[in-house]
Formats: sequence, structure tokens, C-alpha cells
Amino acid sequence: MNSQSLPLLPKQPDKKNLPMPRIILLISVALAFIAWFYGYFSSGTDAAPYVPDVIQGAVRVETRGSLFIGYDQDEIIVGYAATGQGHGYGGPLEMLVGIDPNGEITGVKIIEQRETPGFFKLLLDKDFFDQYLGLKYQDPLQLDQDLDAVSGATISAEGIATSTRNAVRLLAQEGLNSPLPLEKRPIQFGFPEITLIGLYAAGYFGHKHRSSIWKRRIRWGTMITGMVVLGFIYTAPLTIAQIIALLSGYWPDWHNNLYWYLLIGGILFVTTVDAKNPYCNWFCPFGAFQECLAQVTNAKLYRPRRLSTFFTWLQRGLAFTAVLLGLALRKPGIAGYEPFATLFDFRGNLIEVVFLLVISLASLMMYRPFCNYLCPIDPIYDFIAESRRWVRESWQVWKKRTAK
Amino acid sequence: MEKANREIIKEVFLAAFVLVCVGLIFTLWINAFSAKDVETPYFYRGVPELSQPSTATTTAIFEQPILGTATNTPQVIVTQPTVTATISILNFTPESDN
Repeated sequence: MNSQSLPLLPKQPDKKNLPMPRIILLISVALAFIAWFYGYFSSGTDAAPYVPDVIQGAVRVETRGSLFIGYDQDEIIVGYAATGQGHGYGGPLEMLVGIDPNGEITGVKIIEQRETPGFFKLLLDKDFFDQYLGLKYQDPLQLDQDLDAVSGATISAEGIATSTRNAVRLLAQEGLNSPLPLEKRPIQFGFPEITLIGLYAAGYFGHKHRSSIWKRRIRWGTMITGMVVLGFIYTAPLTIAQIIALLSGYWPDWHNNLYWYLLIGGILFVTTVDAKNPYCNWFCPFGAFQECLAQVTNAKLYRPRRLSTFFTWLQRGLAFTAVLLGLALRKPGIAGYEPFATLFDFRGNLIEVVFLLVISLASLMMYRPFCNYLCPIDPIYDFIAESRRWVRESWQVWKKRTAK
Repeated sequence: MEKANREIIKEVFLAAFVLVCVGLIFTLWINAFSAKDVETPYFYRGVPELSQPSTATTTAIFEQPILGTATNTPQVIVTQPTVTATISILNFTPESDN
């Protein structure tokens, strides 16, 4: 058998000499598992000590299953409390809700959350929590119905509303013996979801188009749409926090988070199956912003060959540190470092503003500096691509062996 | 030679940019993870309750200046007497906690 008979067969991996990237890949996976287990077993808050905060006059609290019952000095029931879970921007939210025996909400308290501090400040500034007091357990407790949403912290507000509803549902059933009818959960499918599907489709056809002029036009169309709609209007680009939330098992309810699933699921699907990156070069809002700046000065890609490996591993190191921190501390929301919210939502502290300014300035001198040197998403693609290659190679070797 | 020098300067600028950004990222992480956990506020509706009765008093003064004027002599001005209202609230406590 000459060497030309197996031109497409990849090199058989030598188990004794595993290539360095694969050794690092294995070590990374092992460390990520350790971080995940550490985070999983070290998280969680006991709600019982907080019950008197939401049931006024309770001097003694009795726990019955998942229900807390508050008694006053005369051993009369003064209220009930229970916890409910929802999903915020950074992961699950847990709310403790208290009601009096008449079914009126007497108090709400956040027991556990993983949101970025900025989101919470917005909710507090807008007196979001005050709205609950005095509402009855039969009330809808829905944003834009009996609760005002908070612009800029919609996902956190939705998470709090969902957790409170879940707690009230439990209270109605177990505390008041008055179960609520099953909640209708309409699927939230609107303009951002339609835009996202449209961008995937445009990217696919643009990628397949033979004419380079049309390819370029379609690409600019998707980039500008991504920047305006997914960036400035909805502030919903792909972030490392979403990847960490996915790895942590913080999967939000798909009914009102379809966008989350379309974005992450679509990208992971295309990358895994087709080994293509449908996002970064086609509709990443921050990438588009940098490209627009590069157009102003006609800035070109700059990546010196002798420093390339160092920068690649530095970028991977940053992304991996963010993932480890997010998994170990169970806080995806604050492990991320992308300046997306600073740009698209005009929100951030001094360091974040300086970071954005440095990147914007650099974007005038070189093509996509954040994407090429810092973005944590790029190493995630590398990780998937390398894993995919490894699986494919192993599969082909196994097929060859079984065919013999 | 000049080209090589220019290349070195560009590389130094690039390295400086990346290092500044890495420094900022680490500062962001240190700030985020060392910051106190976000305040977890709680609210409840205050129900009036006091261990012993207490009274709060407020006075409302109503004064109507001129109800009517007689133009003939002698001139008569009729005024409404001052009215004092006292409201007593028992078992009042200010709304608590937040």
C-alpha cells in the first residue's frame, strides 16, 4: 500500500506522545470539573433565618416541608413564607416571599443571586421590590401587568418576578390551601428572536455565495444589523457569562428565554457540526463596532508572527480563568470581562469605561484588537474545534480498526 | 534597519496594549470578587403594633377671613371662629425596616 492510497486519513494519534494542545485540553477539562464540583457543593443559602424579615411579628418559625410558618407570641399564625426560583442574567435567583393569612404579600427578600451589581442597583433605584407589597396571591405578578419592568435590567426583573410567582404558588397551595390554576407560559418569540434567525440565515447564504462582492455586502448587512439590533437595542450579544451559565447548569426557562437558546444553541450546533463560526465574523455586535472604527482609519490586522503563539495562549488563559472563576464561585455574571454593557447600555464603572476607551482607540489602529487578543469566545471555538478534531480522528481510527 | 526598528516599535505598542488590557481585566475581577455581596433588600408592609398605647395629636386650624360685610354704619364684620381638631391614633408605629 503506497502513501497515496490513504490521502485523507489523518495521522494516527500516538498515545505515547499526545500533542501538547491535547494534554492542555485534558488538563483544562479536569480543572473545569474540579471547579464545577467545588462551586456546586459550596453554594446554597439557608432561607430559614430570613423568614422573620418577611413575616412581621413572627417570633417563632416552624418549617413544614418547603413551607415556613410564622407564629407570634400568642402562638397565632401571622404568616407564611416560601422560596421560589427563577433565572436572572447571571444564573438562578432565589426569592423568599412572605404572605399574611389573608394572602397579601408582606415581604420579599433575595436569598441568592448571581447578578452583576449594576443590574441590582437599577432595580433598587427604580423601587422594583416595593411594587410587591400589598399585592394579593391571586394577582398576576407579571411584568407589564401589575409590575413595572425596569429598562436595562429586564432579565433580572423577569427572574425576580418568576421566582416570586413560584414562591407565591407554593404558598397558595401549601399555606393557604387555595391552589392557583396552572400558569400559562406563552412562548416569548418576538423581534430579537426573528432578527437572530434572520442573521443566521443571512450568514449561511452569505457564506455560501460565490460572488465575493455580494458576500461582502451581505456580511456588512448582518454586521450592522447585529450591532444595532443585538447590540444597541437589546444588548444581547454572546458572552462568556452565558457559556459559564450553560456549563453550570443554569438553563433558563425556554418559554421566555428562547433567544438565549437560539443564540447559544445555534452557535454551538453550527460550530460542532460544521466546524464553522457563524457568529464572530457575521453578526457579533462588538466585532462590528470595532470594524466600523477600523473603517474610519483603514486599520489592518496586525499580528506579529513571533508573538502570535504567546498572544494566543494569553487569550486562552484569560478565557479559561474566567470560566474557572465563574464555575468555582457559581457567579457567571461577574466572571465575564467583555465591555459590551459599557458600550451598548452605557453602563459601567470607571475601569470598564477606561477598558472600552483603550479598545476603541486600538480599533482605530488595528483590525478588531479585542477579538484578536482578548475576547474569551474565540478560545471557546478553539476548544470545540480541537475536541471535534480529536473525536473525528479517534472515530476514523476506530472505524479503520473495525473494518480490518 | 529602519523597517526593523518600526516593527519593534509596533510590537512594543501591541504588547503594551495587551498588557494594559490584561491589567484592567484583572482589576475588574479583583473588584468584582472582593466586593461585598450585593445588598439583598427585604421589605414588608408595616402593621401598626405597639406594646403600649400611645397618642399622636395634630391640630388643624381653619380660619375663614370674611364671610360678609355690611356697608351701612356701623360696619359689621363677621368672622368664623377658629376650629381646632384633634386626631388620636392609637397603637401607631412607624413603618419598619426599610
